[in-house]
Amino acid sequence: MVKEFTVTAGAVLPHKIGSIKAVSDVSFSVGQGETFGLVGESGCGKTTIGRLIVGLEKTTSGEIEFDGTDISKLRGAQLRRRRRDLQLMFQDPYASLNPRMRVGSIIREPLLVQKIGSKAEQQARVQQLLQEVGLSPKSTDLYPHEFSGGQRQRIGLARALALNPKLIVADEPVSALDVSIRSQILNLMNSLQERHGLTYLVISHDLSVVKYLSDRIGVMYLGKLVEFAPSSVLYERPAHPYTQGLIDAIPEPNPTRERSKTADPIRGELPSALHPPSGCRFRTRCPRAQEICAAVEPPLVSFGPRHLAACHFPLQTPEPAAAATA
Amino acid sequence: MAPLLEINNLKTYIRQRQSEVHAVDGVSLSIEAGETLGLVGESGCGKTMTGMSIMHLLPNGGYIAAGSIRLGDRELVGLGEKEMRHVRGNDVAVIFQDPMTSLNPTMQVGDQIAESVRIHRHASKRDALQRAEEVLGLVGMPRPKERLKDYPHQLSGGLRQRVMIAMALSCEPKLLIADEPTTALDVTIQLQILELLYELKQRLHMAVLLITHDMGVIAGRADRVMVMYAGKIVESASTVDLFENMRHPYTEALLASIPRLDQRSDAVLYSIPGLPPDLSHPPAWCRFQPRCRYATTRCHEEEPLLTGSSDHQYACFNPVANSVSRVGSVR
Repeated sequence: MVKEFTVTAGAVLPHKIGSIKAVSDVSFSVGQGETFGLVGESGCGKTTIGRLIVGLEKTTSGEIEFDGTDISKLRGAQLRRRRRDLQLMFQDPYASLNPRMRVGSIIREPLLVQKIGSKAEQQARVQQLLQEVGLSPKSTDLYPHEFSGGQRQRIGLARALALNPKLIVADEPVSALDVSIRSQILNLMNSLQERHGLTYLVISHDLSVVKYLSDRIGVMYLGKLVEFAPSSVLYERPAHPYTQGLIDAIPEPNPTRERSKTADPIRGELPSALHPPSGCRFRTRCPRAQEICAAVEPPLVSFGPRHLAACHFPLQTPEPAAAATA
Repeated sequence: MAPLLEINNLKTYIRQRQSEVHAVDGVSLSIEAGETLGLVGESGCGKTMTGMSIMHLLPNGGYIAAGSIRLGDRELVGLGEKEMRHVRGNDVAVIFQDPMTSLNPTMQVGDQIAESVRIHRHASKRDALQRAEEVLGLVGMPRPKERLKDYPHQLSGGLRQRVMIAMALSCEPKLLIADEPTTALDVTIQLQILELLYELKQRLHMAVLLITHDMGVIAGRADRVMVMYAGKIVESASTVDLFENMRHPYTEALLASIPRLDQRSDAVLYSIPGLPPDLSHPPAWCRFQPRCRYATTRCHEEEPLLTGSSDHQYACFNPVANSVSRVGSVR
């Protein structure tokens, strides 16, 4: 790998009655041109990781290394320059575009902020971006409300691409869209990646979307990464009971299979992040939990090449070589 | 046996300043007691408007232009507000998508549930609260007695949805309209709520109209499915039959565009070109024809009507061939 991002973060968001560790000792790396998916339920800290990486939040401790530099320590002008390489694609195409700006200005704004090119060059770039994301060149003079959800997500993608970023953090890129529009955006994201050698960090609660886009997937639960693996391995041989539960909970468009499911579903609700359970955080909802799970926090153990999971009673046999890092 | 609910050629329009939206345009369906009918489609296809027409809960400017809605032996179209108030909550109950905005944030959940029992059953406050506790227990709320005094913001999304269901069930309705009941919830909680609905339906012998955009939710829970597109039913069949022998190109395209867990991820997803039509000016004749890859000249000269056998109907001149393998091969 040429480039590596290492995230080791312990973000403590200040809170009146205590502190919530939204992200707690998470480490992973993403290779250039790769798509890494983060999946988990709401409140697991996946969005916080995305915001930490693009610099919208500051880490409490730990570092985020991008292209050889620790970007979590950058300030001012240096940070601003770095942001060219890191762009965010938002979930809600209705809330993330300024309703009072014309589409042309929305896409041009990053170029203005970063002072790149003359006015004519910027306008030419806007035209080129519109074409890339499959919108008509006439769109520049229209306002966001004149577009549908899918088209707005294309505008968001064009804006994210304006500065030729290296990494795009896509936070729930298709959750707000209808099924027939979703596949258009997913296909577009894939083709843009091929054309520009983009690296994606895809964040979603929807395992089927993450699996479709990603090469590797990390599963998060209450601020911790509990398992990560290449995407096909994660689906075929999950080691963590939470991953298995998540896979079983996804309703499949197949009535015969859907009705023959017998697996034990995950019971109960997500515990409070303010007072996470001791030991393994998943133990309160885990069908396999025993005494040790409350006492000792399970370390990440290797289950094969690039496959790690943190569980005392995993569904697969771990490799003899004990704890490893990804 | 006569069906519990029978809708015939329902047309629900919404008046707007300059145009009229034909949100529901000639929908017919029936549900028997104890049956779950799934109504599936994308946003704006009229599935919610169909459900809300039954309840007479239409947005400003919305009205039922034609058709009939029969619940048991009673005609609901044309019923006055006073009579409808008796039907709502008593005979027909509804669960909405977002439990936060559909619960009253200033009322304790116990009082909210008790309210409908007091109105419909003329129960005393004490009996109504007793009933509230009973239904909260029924929907699997842990420690129901303590929860009666909670306000909605003190509960998680999943528990709030349980309160909504408890409220809907408090007067033992014959028909439950579940409009995207799990869309706002996490997958693990979604599974719990769907299982709860299924179990309650069995136990109380209710009819359920399950409205959703999620083919996966439909696959597991519905006995029969109707696919809606642009205000019309385009295909109707038993759930297994629909997924295995889909005939309408829209159903096929919808299924092919969902990324599946068992699919190889380098495959390009099928995507339906274009956008759903504007329902104030729907395309003439077949409404899916501008986006359909099988469309022929006949499709914009004539309107396809629902045809096929009585258990599997579809509105298309060029139906998809009868085969399972096609879904995978769509490109």
